[in-house]
Amino acid sequence: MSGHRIVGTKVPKLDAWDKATGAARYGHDVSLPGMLHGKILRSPHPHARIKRIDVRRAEALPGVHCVLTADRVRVGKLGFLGDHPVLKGDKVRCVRDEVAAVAATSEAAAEEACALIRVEYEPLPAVFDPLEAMQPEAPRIHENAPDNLVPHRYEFRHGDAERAIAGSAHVVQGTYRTQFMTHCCLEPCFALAAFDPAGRLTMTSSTQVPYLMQSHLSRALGIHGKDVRVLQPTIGGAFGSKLDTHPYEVLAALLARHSGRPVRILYTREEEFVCAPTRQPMIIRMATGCDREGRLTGRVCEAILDNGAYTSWGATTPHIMLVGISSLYKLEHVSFRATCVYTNNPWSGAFRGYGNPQGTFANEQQMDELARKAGIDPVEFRIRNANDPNSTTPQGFRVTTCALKECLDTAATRVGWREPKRPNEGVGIAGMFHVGGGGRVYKSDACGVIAKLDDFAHLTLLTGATEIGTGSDTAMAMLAAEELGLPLGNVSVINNDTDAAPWDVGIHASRTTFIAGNATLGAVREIRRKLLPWAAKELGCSEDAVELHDGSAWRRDDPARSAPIEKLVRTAHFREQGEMFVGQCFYDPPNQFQDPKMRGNVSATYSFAAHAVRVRVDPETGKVKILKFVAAHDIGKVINRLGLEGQIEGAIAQGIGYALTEQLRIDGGRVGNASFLDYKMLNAADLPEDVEIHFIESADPAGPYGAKGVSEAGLIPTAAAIGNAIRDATGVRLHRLPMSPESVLAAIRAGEQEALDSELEVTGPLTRSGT
Amino acid sequence: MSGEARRSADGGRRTGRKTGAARRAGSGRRPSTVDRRPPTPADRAPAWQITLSVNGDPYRVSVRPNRTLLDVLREELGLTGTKRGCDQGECGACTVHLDGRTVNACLVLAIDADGSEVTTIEGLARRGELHPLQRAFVEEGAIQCGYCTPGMILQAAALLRQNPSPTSAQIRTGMAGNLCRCTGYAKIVKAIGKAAEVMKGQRKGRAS
Amino acid sequence: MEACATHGPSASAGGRVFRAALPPFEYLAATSVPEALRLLAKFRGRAVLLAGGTDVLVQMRTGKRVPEAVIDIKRVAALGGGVKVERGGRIAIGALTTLADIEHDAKLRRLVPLLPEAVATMASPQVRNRGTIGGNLCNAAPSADTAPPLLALDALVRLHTRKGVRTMPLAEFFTGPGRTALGTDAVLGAILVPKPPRGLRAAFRKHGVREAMECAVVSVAVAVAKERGTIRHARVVLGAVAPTPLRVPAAEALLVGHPGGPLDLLAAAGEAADAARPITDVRGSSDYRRDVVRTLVRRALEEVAG
Ligand SMILES: Cc1cc2nc3c(=O)[nH]c(=O)nc-3n(C[C@H](O)[C@H](O)[C@H](O)COP(=O)(O)OP(=O)(O)OC[C@H]3O[C@@H](n4cnc5c(N)ncnc54)[C@H](O)[C@@H]3O)c2cc1C
Ligand code: FES
Ligand code: FES
Repeated sequence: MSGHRIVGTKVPKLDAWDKATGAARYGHDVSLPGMLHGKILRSPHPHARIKRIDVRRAEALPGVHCVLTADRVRVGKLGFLGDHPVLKGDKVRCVRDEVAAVAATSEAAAEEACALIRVEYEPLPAVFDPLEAMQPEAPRIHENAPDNLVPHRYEFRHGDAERAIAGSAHVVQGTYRTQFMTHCCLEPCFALAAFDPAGRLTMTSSTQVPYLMQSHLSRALGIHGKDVRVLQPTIGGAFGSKLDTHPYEVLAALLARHSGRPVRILYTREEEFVCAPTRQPMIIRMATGCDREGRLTGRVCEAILDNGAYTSWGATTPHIMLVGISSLYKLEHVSFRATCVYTNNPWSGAFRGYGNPQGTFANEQQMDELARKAGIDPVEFRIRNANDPNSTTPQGFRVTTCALKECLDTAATRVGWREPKRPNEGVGIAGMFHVGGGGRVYKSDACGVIAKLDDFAHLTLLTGATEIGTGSDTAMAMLAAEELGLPLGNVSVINNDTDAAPWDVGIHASRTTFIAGNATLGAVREIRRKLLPWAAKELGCSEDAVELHDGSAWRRDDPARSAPIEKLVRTAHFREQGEMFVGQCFYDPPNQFQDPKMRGNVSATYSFAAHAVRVRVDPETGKVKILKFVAAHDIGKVINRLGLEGQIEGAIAQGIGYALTEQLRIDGGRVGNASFLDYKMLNAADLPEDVEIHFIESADPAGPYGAKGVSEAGLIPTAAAIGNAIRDATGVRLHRLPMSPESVLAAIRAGEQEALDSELEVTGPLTRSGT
Repeated sequence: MSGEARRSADGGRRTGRKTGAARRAGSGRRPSTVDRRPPTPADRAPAWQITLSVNGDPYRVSVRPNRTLLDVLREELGLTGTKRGCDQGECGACTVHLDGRTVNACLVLAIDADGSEVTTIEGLARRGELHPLQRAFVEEGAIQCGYCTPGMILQAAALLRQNPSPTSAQIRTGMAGNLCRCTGYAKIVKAIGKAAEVMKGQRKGRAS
Repeated sequence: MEACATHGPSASAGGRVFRAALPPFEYLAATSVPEALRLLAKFRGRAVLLAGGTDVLVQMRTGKRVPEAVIDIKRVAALGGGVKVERGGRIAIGALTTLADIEHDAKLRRLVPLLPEAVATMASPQVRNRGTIGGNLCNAAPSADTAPPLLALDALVRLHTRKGVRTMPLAEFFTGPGRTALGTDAVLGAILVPKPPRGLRAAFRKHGVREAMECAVVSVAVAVAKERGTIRHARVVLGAVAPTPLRVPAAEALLVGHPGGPLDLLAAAGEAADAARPITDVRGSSDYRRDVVRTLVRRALEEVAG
């Protein structure tokens, strides 16, 4: 596969120039003539009945155009299970809850108006701990969920895990707890809605899923989908947070409809911390066994997810959580159950990794402990159990390419696994398994691309695949340029308008390079097929003898003969019975929607990686310093090295934050650290200098030029590897994220006691079976 | 760049001449009540006339005391390259140069910037020629979503002015007030290092 | 709230709208100390002085402070003046001196490096360009990072009141979290750092989750001068572990007259931990803070007395 001119090189992002000069227009930068400013009034209580709302004083305020409450509008519900009213009328279930919305001529007037709204509440008993919420006497949050369990079950059984574990030579069991983490997109949320006189809505939004948003909005607003157009400006970060359509977006549209003016809603940073979705905390109880040779025998895992007050896509994270638990290493017997529990906490959403970082943390702590018990080196132990290419996992995933062993080996070698350590230093490693060829979480996993070559040889790619900063645009442009032999500068991508671009299911599940990449190749190959006859004719040779590169068609056997592609296009345009060069492709990968038993080959291929880390722990303050970080990723094939490195480096940074410092402190349903000063996202001075990234290329036959998806992979094993390194350095294992200085010190002080404590059973039934 | 900014600037408020002085806030200015928005209780305080030089262009703006420099740059002058990430001095997205020093524009009252010289990201490129930092950020892949980028580049410019050949550790502490959620900073640090080299070369070039 | 008072975890959302706009206020620019004092008196506690604004603006934005008027003192010449070494070796630092100017001041780096070193750990370069030393002290956060080093250096403060100019030890200046001897009608003019005792060695330690851009969970400043192997002068000061920055005389007493061997240092660190009265909040539990005090004091003393 060598000899590529563009694919595999380091290429700046297509939009980097605009972003470097301040010219890029983000949502917060867009305004429309006559635009009003929207503001939301939210619940002061985590759980309360709304008795009465009085908006008269708000409406009387000069500049106020429109005040909406639940009883004034008819609007559908949001959420994965449709349990989320946009405006709360009967009761509020968390402090994020939208009670009223105002549109006014200035932000200040809208704020003032919100402050003038009187709401009478009757506070209700609330519950914030998922285990408590599962108790029979717990306050009921949704009428149709008497047990506070989200009515959607996740159960998977393969073989007889309990028996396999009982017969194991070594068994490790433990309970692991993970925290609320939040996306911290640098650009706070925004929405801008405008109706045209014919009643058609244009929604400017930083959604990751424009076509789903189209249908969400159509359902919520009760208008036909054809009357919803979604435009995306430059997006200032998403990471999963913009996978759902949120109440504020619907509210912007409602305010626009009721006021007859465009309405923009901007979040403040504090609002973002309190009201944007989070990564769901989990309580994961897991047991894993192995035989005397260190081969895994079976695994049992039960997970409780704090869903918060309403469902979002976050309630489906167990699907992806399970992939790592069942398929990172070879397992014959697996049993898994996950339960999402309603609480009065702010609701959780989707976040890079989609449950897999939580599951992998538990999984990889156990792998380490098992290795220890079996007396086998942890790297060797993992390699012994690693998946092989061309194998099928318990869930029915067909692993075609797999370089996990190489990844483990590279990461361990580079981090100096066997090198001597100074006092308080430790090394740790963890592997990762994730979808790498899309993820069929909807019925469709497809992406459409239309390609158009104009008579100056400029190629336009029209696609629904959104660019959220990951560089997917650039990867698509590179693939197209390579395939058609055009300079990269000849390619542009239009993907921010549902009126212009064809369907895509959205940017998630690390799918865009793989799926949109394949769709791009399909579309430009059609153009290539149309172009070759013209080239052959011009060059006086057969089509097989034509090569396309550097903007021209060349005769392979006579490099002196060439014709510029633009000239070929013009030749075809400027003649009778001419031809235009448009190609299109609807690529839907060969993967399967999982059945209710959680089986099915959900992705067309799978990514593997290993992270190894060397840390030093200050035994007197508990502070963990990362001395060296090595990531080895099986990415199939590198398309844009610069973009790929950036994706992994960024994900590692988020993973380090997840491991050590980041936690949204929610106490009694309220966020206690809604600022960057107290939410400890890491800055440049905190992150390790010595980060190495290695790409192991396994050239996936299904991937575009062999590539697999990667954008979540860098986050998934990071906390797990750090946890193992802390264990190595201190002799104690932490079972709870984040491993903050305070908790590390407490663990060291408590010594093994802590480890023992956390192995104790969680009180009460962990899951209740059936409904 | 600055041509764009000028066009989108708040039309008539811009004066034709370069307004250098007017150092003292409040000196000789009469509060004016000109404002587009209808009055609300939050808007009772009178507005003031201030003059600013932004990227070399003079502006005269009418502001209320509770408006920040960030508000004025983005909303009055249409210079949206300066980003709002937190409004509390914690993210650095709003970093601009104020009389030669970097500040968080969200923590500066607009009134307080009266008579000052401001440089924003729109003013960094000279006659269409990117600043070496802009070029390095593009080429090194230091930009993903790009929301942090303008602030990063302006802070880096100040850093390199103070310390033309920083170590990477110095770059990291010098950039600690600028958060980035996308890149993990590695490529940002590298880009700044690279720009430092380029700028050293340019200075040598000029000297000889 | 404790640490970095202004940035205490914001009151949680609820029943309110997240406001983007700063609350409205009247803006007044004072050009002289008497004018500032007159304006303060006029508003009787309903006005706030504005120096760099890095605390004030944040407090106003988060709704912790809703003053009727803001009195900008940035251009009052008598409060500026930067860093001057007086005859006799005393250093005078104008209240309006920015943190960045302190960080880079050659005289301070030579004479009392403790202060610029501590200042370099504060906030971000952008905030240090704007924030002032006077603002840091007058804001009186228990975690204010200039306080422990200045207390360890026996600094004095010069206050301007309607009755005249008054100088007091900085140790008496802090009266509680966010409260100082200024009350509502005085202005801080300058900070005075006496000539340090001969051979003084000092160290600052700050503990937080992050390396930079971090409010102290615990901060420590120690200063020790030895004569012929015996400690003759000792200061141990803690930040963020009590309602005000805290000097620990008991720890100092354990050091003076001793050689500063490992046991002396350990004992002094223990005294410091006992003296700390930390609270539990999102930044750390009280037990953890006390534990860290012991460690940081010992380590700082090891550096200067070992
Ligand atoms: C992102 C961020 C990070 C920060 N990190 C730190 C940190 O690490 N450590 C730390 O200690 N602080 C930190 N701070 C707080 C702040 O920057 C400092 O306290 C700064 O020194 C305040 O100075 P200022 O001039 O901006 O004060 P201002 O905000 O102008 O004033 C602060 C208070 O002091 C009063 N005041 C100011 N000057 C005088 C005077 N001369 N006489 C009487 N009263 C006066 C004001 O009325 C006000 O009450 C941080 C702030 C931000 C925004
Ligand atoms: S917006 Fe000013 S620092 Fe974040
Ligand atoms: S590139 Fe997205 S925040 Fe920095």
